[in-house]
Amino acid sequence: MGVERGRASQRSHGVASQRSYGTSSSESQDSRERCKNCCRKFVSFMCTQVGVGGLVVSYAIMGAFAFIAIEGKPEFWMTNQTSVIHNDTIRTLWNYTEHLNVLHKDRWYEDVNETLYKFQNDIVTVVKSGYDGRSHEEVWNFPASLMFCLSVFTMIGYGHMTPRTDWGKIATILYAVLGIPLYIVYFMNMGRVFAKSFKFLYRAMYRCVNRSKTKSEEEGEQLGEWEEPTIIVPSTACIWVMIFYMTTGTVMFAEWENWSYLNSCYFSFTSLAKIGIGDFVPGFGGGEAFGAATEDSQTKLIINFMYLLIGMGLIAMCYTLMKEEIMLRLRTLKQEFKEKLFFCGVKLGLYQEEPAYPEPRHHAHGRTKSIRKSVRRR
Amino acid sequence: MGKCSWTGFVRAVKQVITFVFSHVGLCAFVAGYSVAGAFLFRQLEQDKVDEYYDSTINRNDCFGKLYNITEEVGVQLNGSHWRDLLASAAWQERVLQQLEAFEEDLVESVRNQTYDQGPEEQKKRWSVIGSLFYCVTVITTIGYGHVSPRTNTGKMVTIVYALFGIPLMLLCLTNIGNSMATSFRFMYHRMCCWYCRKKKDEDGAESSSMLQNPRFIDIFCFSRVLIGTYLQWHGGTSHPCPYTPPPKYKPNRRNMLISPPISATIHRGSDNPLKAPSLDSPSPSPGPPATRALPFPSQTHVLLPDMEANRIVAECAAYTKTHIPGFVVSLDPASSDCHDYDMVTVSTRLSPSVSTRPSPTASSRPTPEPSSPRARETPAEWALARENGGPHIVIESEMEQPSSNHSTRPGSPTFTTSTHHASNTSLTSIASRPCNQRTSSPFLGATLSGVRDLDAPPYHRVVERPPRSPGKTLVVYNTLSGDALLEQSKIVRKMALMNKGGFGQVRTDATTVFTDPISGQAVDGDMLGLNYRPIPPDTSDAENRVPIPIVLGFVASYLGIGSLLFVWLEGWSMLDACYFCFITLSTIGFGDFVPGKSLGYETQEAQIKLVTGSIYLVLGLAVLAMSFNLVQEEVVLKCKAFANWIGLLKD
Repeated sequence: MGVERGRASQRSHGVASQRSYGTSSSESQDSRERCKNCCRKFVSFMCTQVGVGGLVVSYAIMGAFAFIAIEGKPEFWMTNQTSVIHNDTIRTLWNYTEHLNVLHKDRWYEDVNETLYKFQNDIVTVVKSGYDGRSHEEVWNFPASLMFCLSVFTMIGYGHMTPRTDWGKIATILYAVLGIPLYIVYFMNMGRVFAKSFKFLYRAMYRCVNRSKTKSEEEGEQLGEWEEPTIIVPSTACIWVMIFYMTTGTVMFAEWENWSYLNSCYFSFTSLAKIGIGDFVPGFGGGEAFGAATEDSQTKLIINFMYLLIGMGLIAMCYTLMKEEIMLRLRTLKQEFKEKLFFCGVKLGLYQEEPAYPEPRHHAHGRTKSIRKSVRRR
Repeated sequence: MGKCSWTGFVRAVKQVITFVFSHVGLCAFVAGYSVAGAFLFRQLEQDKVDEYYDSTINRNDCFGKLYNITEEVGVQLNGSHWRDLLASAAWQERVLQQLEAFEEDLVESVRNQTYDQGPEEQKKRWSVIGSLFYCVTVITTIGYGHVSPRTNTGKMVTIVYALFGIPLMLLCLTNIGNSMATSFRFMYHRMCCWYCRKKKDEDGAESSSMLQNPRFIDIFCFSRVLIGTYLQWHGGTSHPCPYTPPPKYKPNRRNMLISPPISATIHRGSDNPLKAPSLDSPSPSPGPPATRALPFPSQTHVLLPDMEANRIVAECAAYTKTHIPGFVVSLDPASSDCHDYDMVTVSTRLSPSVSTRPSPTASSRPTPEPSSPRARETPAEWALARENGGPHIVIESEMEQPSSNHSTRPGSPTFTTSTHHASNTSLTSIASRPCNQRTSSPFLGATLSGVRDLDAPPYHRVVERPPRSPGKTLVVYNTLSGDALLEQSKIVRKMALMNKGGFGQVRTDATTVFTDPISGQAVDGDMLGLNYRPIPPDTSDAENRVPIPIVLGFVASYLGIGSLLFVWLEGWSMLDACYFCFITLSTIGFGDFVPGKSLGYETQEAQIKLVTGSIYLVLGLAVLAMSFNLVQEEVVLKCKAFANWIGLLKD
């Protein structure tokens, strides 16, 4: 993850430097220079938030079409097998019915039962090899394929639809290899943007609240006080934002998919945490009604796609902000610990002067010197 | 002394606490967390049993419907010939509908794993092992979904569990990845070192019969570093020397610095009568030749004051896995234009019998004798010259004896030691003595105490230092008194230990000059030994990186091994197994392939597979974290280079 973070930061650095460059773009208009400039502009646009977001979305769309092309071919699909099984079974049944009279119920029963048993076993083997009762048009339509691509490169991996063919598997691997770094770049980028804007909002609110408070109390002679340079967004605020976002998702999915609120919440959480258990997938029902593709599932899938992408950005924001705060806290904790340790040492008389080693010039240098002395004594 | 031991104790306790909290403790905590989760989910989910799909009942149901259909059709067609084609079509239609309904039930039941799993099997699905696997997949965010909680409590608990488990797992994986990366780096460098030595060995066998011992070559390389040819050699611009590795092969250069010289003595070899005649062989190149001296007994330069220092040096040697052969490498000063450093003798013989601690009376008597500042300049230059090879630390120590009555051995036995740090912070000691000393001394490389007369106590010189460049050079600068030397050796040991443990590196950004407390030279900056702090190894220098292809190859081989394992274990095809490993390690986790899924999670075999799978995935995630740690900087650099190449970044 650090790789892509580094790359992202590097890219942003590239953006910054490019911006500084763009103003002073020279007049030496070689074709090469122009090409370079073009390249620069393109890459720097690609590094902006819009560029990265667009790149991710277009990558997903491209992947969706690719997977429809690879996986959606009906000749690979299991419905062929099941229809073959159906036809076989019906023919066999008809033969039995034709040969025997219905009146010979016992004999007829035996034969039909045998046939049904065979049918059942065939179906079970087909299902175990991946059939889930849906035709390929139902499964590999465009929004579903988009959802599949999203679940691949965001590492959610619902598993509600998986590639069956060999080429599909290979394509999935390649798609993930390229897509995951791209997604992480997006993640970091969005995280930074969201964090910045959220920080800005928070600061504005903070100032507003504080000013009104102090105005009500007294005129601001503590004006320097709220000029404090770092107002760190508390992690509780991030948590509240996340809770709010998850609640929105919960209500939305519960209304659309007729899931219970708990199931819906469970789905939002496992999706946003990238677990992706996959027992609930929007557009595919969930729980007991799984696999029953509802109508207008396509728009829902696309909205779900957007929901997840934005949610990932929000998570990145929380990650950035909370990391900041935790680092700060750790630093203060460390400082306190060090001071305490030092006082302990002083109380125990650890850092005394050592007469055997006159060190005339460094008596006043304090702690480290005395520590050194004490070590040197050993 | 008691207080000192108390500080030592505190430091030890601190280290132990740090270690436990960083590695073992964290891993144990994660393991405990998952096991607790396993029991929790087992408790929660075991009682919830889905409706069991009884195949015989369903089949009978279907059969009854079929019979009804047939009868109805028969009744409808009673009058006519009932083998009518139309009737057949109608019958087939209805039968097909019936069959499809039957199939739907079947598919549903199979997907919900209720087809061939009765209540007992469903309970066993949430056995301890199964729940453990579920927990692991949740907190690693893989989420196969092969089993999912059915109860409402189970769902809520899953949410809470993941909320705390995921950051914990992330922390643990990062930690493991860090330490694995450190050890991987270390191993890589060791391997490279071996390869380099082997290669050099081959080269050396061709060029010189004296250089058969790789250890010898190491020492030779080090002494070349010492005598100042490092710059040319490092830049690769020097005349080709048979021992010079090709400059394109970077690890070689690095390995030179890994080379563990135990001690080096510099004395005026030009007027050393005891020198073997072979020592005087001329040098072919700016790099002075290395010659192997006969191990004279008088040349056993034991330079460490006491047993502990010896032990330390032995530890260094053991760390670098070098046995200590009893030979002395001497470099002919004739070819070297550096007259202050006439001879470099690298002695690897450590015999405790001749090494004693100098008498405290001798060591505690400072004699402020001005020395020639000129003598100091060359090492400073070296130190600067080596900056492009990375930050390094120079420990200098000096002990001199009055030259009055010691015509035979009044030498300046100087202690130098060098160790290598994993992050290319090489601790190089340059021992020297000023050149305006007794040039008549026939043999200056005297042992510390075995040779020295104790009635002529050594005096410590005030050595002046030219101002260091405010760069990366950290100079520890001591005259040789017993304790000071001991402390130096402690520092050396510390660095060796740091190398071994890989916990950190000496901060290399300080511009620090230490001198002896007795001589009163200025000591700026922090104490070297105390102030090293663990810096994550990814902040290290360019020298310390492992190339990306090797890391990628490592990950790919891990994938391959996993694929083979699952091919053997599960009988999947190679592609499927590879796909499974990739999907798992990238934490996508579709769940179409899950170890033990075909067996239904309840047999013992399936549980073994589950355990194997979870171990594989946790290890694999650690490996991934490690590789991220390793390639991180390289990738950033490559990206920068790429941006430069495009013209995005102006340099």
